[in-house]
Amino acid sequence: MSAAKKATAGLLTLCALTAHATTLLRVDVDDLARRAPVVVRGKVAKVQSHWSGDHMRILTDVDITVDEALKGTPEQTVRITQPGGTVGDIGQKIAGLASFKEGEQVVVFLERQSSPGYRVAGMAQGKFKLTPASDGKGTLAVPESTGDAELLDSKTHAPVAPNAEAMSLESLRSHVKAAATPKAAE
Amino acid sequence: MRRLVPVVLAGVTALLLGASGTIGYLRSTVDASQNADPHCLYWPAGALQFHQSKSGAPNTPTAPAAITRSWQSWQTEFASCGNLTLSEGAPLDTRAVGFSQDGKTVNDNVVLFRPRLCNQVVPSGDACLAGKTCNNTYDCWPDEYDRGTIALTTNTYDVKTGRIYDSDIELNAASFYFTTADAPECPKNLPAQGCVVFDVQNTATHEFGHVLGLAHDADARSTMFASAPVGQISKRSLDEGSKQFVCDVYPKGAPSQDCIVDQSNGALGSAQGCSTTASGVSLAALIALAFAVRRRAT
Repeated sequence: MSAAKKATAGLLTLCALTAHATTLLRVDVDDLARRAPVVVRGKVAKVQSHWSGDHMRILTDVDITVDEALKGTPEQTVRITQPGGTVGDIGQKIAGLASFKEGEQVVVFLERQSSPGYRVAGMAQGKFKLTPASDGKGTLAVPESTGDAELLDSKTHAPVAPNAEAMSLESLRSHVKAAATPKAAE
Repeated sequence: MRRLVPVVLAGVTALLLGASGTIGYLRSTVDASQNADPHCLYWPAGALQFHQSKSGAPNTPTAPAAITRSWQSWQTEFASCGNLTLSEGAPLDTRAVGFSQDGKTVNDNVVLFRPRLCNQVVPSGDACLAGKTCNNTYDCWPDEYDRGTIALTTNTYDVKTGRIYDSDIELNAASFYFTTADAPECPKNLPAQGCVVFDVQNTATHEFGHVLGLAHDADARSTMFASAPVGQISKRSLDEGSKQFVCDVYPKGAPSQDCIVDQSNGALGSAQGCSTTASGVSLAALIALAFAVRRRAT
């Protein structure tokens, strides 16, 4: 097989493994935990949109103060940078991204970018909002809505409903730790 | 005091329409998390032109013609009942997307294929990394985008009104193999131009829906249904809901429609009202919904 053919085959393989448009492969917590090198629990300290250096695109920086590193060795504050946002009276919109509000308590699954900073793994699927459980005992991790993005089954590619359900923070923590063991990392 | 009332909330629209069995549509809105009113996105009545990049698509020489056909599907519908005159301008040299406010740059609406991933071509330490300009500087799929995204539409809009200023489409040719054949589906791991992998027209017709202000729809029959597995070409044709969107939001001879009403003058169902009723929701239901929202707000 020529190098070109191999490259093409590789691309098609990637197609088979990844998502379409703002349709995302549905990834469960274990998948996210294996894929993301950094998983943190923390508080959204700051959300700020800004123009790119060429003043053509709006990007949003989300600073999260880390209270607990569930996986990896993140800095005390991690910064997520994602496209879209609002600066003054101008907005830019791209579907399928997680949204953040200052003061939110979250768990986020993160991938490093080439430049300093992270992106949320699996777009909106990689964010969980933490809220007190209704019975007053413990904390719930509530998955972010994927908004108008659609999810596909990772094997059949058939459209499916989000399978991420609210779970206890303790359970989420266990999933992440299990995925980070040497066996899961192979 | 100004009072803005949503006549039809986007999510509610889908719910009601889905229950009727009719294919509906769902509109994109201003990002409400920024404490903005939830206007729907729309283009003002008049002319709307897009341009393809002269570079075309790597491996897919027939891609430009396929994109033209996608735009023509929407052109046909607007010619029938819309208030926009859609046209395709001459191909451009530009490889930049986004919106400039410098007063000099023409904000053309462009469609282009990114042939490579930025993290494969941008030197470490390059200034574009900090400035987040690598996609435009190196003509690549940027690191802040998910690699598993086949195409992205970036709409730039006025937060106070929902009016769209500019829209650009980037297709991820670095990670996906695009074709224009009608059939059959390519064998796994054997992409070729004589069969279908990711169909250009299928993808572009969907993305042009975003350009015009449509969001994804949960109905699998919709052009705006977000899933498009390998081999799909059904989205080349507009579904009835997407066609109805054109007639409702861009009514011929009338202003383009927002989806919230300024009730400061006490009027409901003014010229700014969203008229999705023809898609299967009764006017009475919409008015009832509007008043229900109003009651909760007071």
